[in-house]
Amino acid sequence: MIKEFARQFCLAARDAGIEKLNFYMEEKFSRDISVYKDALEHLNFSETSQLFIEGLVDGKAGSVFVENYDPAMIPDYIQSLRDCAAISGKEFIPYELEGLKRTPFVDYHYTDLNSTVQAMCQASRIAREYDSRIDEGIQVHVNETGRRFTLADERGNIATDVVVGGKAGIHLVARDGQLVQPGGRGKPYNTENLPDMDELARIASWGAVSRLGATSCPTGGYPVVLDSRVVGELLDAFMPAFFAQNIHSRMSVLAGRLGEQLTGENISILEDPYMAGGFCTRNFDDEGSPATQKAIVDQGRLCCWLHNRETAQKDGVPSGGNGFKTKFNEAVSTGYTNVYIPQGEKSLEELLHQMGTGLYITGVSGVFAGARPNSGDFSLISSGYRVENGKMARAVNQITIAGNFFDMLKDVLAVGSDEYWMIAPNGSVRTPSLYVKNLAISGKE
Amino acid sequence: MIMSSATLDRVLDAASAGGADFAEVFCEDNRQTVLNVRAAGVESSSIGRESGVGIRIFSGLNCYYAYSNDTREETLLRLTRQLTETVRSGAVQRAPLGQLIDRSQKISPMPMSTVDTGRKIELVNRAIRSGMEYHDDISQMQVKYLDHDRRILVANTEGLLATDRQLKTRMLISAYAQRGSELRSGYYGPGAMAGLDFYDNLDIEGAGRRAAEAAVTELRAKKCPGGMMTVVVDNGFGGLMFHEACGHSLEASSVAKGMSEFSGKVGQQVASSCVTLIDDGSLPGQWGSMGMDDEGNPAQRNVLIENGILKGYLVDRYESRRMGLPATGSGRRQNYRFAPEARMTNTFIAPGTSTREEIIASVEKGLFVGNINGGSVNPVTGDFNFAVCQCWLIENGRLTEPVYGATLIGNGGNVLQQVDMVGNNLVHGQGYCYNTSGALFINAGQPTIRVKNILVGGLA
Repeated sequence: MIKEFARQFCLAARDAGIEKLNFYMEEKFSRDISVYKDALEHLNFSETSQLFIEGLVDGKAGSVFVENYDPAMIPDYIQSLRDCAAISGKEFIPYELEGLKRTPFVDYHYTDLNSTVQAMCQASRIAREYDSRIDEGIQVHVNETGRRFTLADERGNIATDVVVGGKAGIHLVARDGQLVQPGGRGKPYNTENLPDMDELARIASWGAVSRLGATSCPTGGYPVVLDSRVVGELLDAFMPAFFAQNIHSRMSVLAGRLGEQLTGENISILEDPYMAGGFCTRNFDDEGSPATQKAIVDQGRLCCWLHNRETAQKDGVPSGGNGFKTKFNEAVSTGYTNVYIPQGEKSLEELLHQMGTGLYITGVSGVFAGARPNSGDFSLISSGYRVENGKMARAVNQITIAGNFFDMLKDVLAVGSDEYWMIAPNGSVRTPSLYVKNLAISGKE
Repeated sequence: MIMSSATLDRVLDAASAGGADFAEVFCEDNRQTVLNVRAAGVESSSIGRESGVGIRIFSGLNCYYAYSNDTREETLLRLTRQLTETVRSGAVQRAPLGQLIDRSQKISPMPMSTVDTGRKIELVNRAIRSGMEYHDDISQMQVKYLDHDRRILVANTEGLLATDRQLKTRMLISAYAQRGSELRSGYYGPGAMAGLDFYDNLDIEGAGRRAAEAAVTELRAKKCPGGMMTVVVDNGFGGLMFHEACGHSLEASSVAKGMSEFSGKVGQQVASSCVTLIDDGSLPGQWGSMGMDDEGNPAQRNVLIENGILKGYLVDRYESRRMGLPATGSGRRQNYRFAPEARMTNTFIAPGTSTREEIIASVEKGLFVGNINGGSVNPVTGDFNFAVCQCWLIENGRLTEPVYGATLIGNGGNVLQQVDMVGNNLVHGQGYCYNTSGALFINAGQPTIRVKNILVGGLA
């Protein structure tokens, strides 16, 4: 259906004076399973194939996005493409697809439904039996998705790339009289097997029970160990500060600082599109530029921006393969594959021991509003534990942690040997826990 | 019609034959334009049509959903069979589809989908120019313009066949002010369910200046101190505080499973007596409005809290089964790629009797919040947070210095009891809400209100 649509579109475009075309197609197969109270509750399937077409019209680039492949709609799409070109200031950059891989999309298959539901139900039972205070309303989710990205041009050149993976998670609540505490744990996976669901259940239950009766703490400056999950959320939130498009448009606090010592020497921020265990492994980006390994920050020194083809042309550098779409129906902006902060040598327990007294922050929320990549500032509602004599002493909530992300990375006293993977809209990140000298905490006591 | 009655009948027949005791087909065709424009010109644009089908079936308290943009009948029937494979019931009889009901609100005579793209750019550039001219410290203006011409069709095994056409448009204006290495931003984002008439009546230049003023004020602001304070939240999008503090916790997906702090509390005093909270998707022409929700039910006014007493919840078709309550016209989804859930529409605090000036004058030491960037809530505990902007310290009843970097955090049940003054100047603000059924257009509105004790997270 789509091949025939594309063939007719090419003919109609040529008749309309549209000289060159780039086709970007994203095919996606997805299955979501939810278990509630030890039984299957929701089952969702999806199949979509979405197309974004760019064309060269009177020397400028126009585009249109398509989900309905009825050939009768083609004149409407052509007009939209022309309307877009009329107001666009963009140059049309044709794909260069020769030499790029065509990764086969072998019939995408999910894990066996019955076995997966059984594993989820078992995890639910383990969570409930962990402690009598765990509420019976436990929810377990598994999502598995296969995506194929196809780039093609009007001459019939084609390249394809494939990303498959899953996410498993468990959400529950612990109750003790009037006290209520949610808990949860999730983990991405890209093998044919689920992660250890029983372990996720135990960790989620422990987290909820251990935090019953959490209270706030006095406002002030504190030494802090940020859990690897929190570091992941922060790193993902501030990655746009490294995007060349934001540097060029004066919407990043890092503008003009290339080559400077940005963070402490114990921090590097690296990208590896072929990383073992990575969740955004790609051969090329959404513009067909080969994905490349790079040091964004190397032992504290700011080394490079993340470029798409347009920003790379402006700066006279090769595109490093960071031209990615946030959504299929938008033009390419900037993203990344697998970005990580290399681990250190100290376990989480050793970090807490080194800190002695302070706070161990295990959760933040509201990052999309409370973190500002254009300034580096953040102020986030948080939870965790007070640490005394190097051990978790009591649970803390209803506090905010605040600071500037890049200033904070200058004050890292130790880097953990643990790791946390997070799949984000712009890519995937892997981060360790960090022991930070001081962060501003606002609390109630 | 987006899909033929014959295909709808066959899909619903397949679902019923497979044992679904309820089935629904949701069809969507959404013609969209999104333009990102900066002072130098169009940064990016996205024009096209989002189009697909979602099929939902219930079997008792099980809900199964499938979607695709491949709307060929053979694909839809295959997906329906996939869904019913796990249903352990025999065939169910369904009601025949009735006449098509058009539930659209009054349609603007000039939908933005019919307006020339160049004209849209002109409107946007007026906001950008006025913002750039506002102050020398303004380094950048950016406008995200969008318009949606969304047509939906809902058919279900209860015989409902209904359609709605929703025209939405908005300008999200962001301003950036820079001095040396200090970079701050401000925003203002008016929108409506309307056409070109919205922009004919909007002070576009004023909107650009408003965003620029916010950025310049942030630039000269000092770091906000942290701690417990009396806070005055100004009218408009400050209403997001109630959206987060209690709105999400009143949505059925949390309430139905006892996972909300408000579960089982209808009839109880959950807020101070000066708080009346309303959600109304039927308001004419508002950004969060619609003729019908995404389950085919007419949009309606829902009084959630009245003079501090909890009156009800926002309920969708699925959770109405669990709760034994009628659906409230609140079943919403971002697009066909999501199953609907009960979500907010236009949520606001009803006006009181105080003036803004009286409320500010009543505060000896506190914080004035001009606007909210965004926030989140955990419905289980009621713990919420939001990042605020355009803030000023209040000292001896007067606004003294601007401050930046503040976050307000609290617990919904607690904060609602702390509201002790409500202004007479209700204004609605426009924004987005993100949850399991996707990103939605919402209004959050309120008059100026005073919260006597709330934790402010600061940078100082």
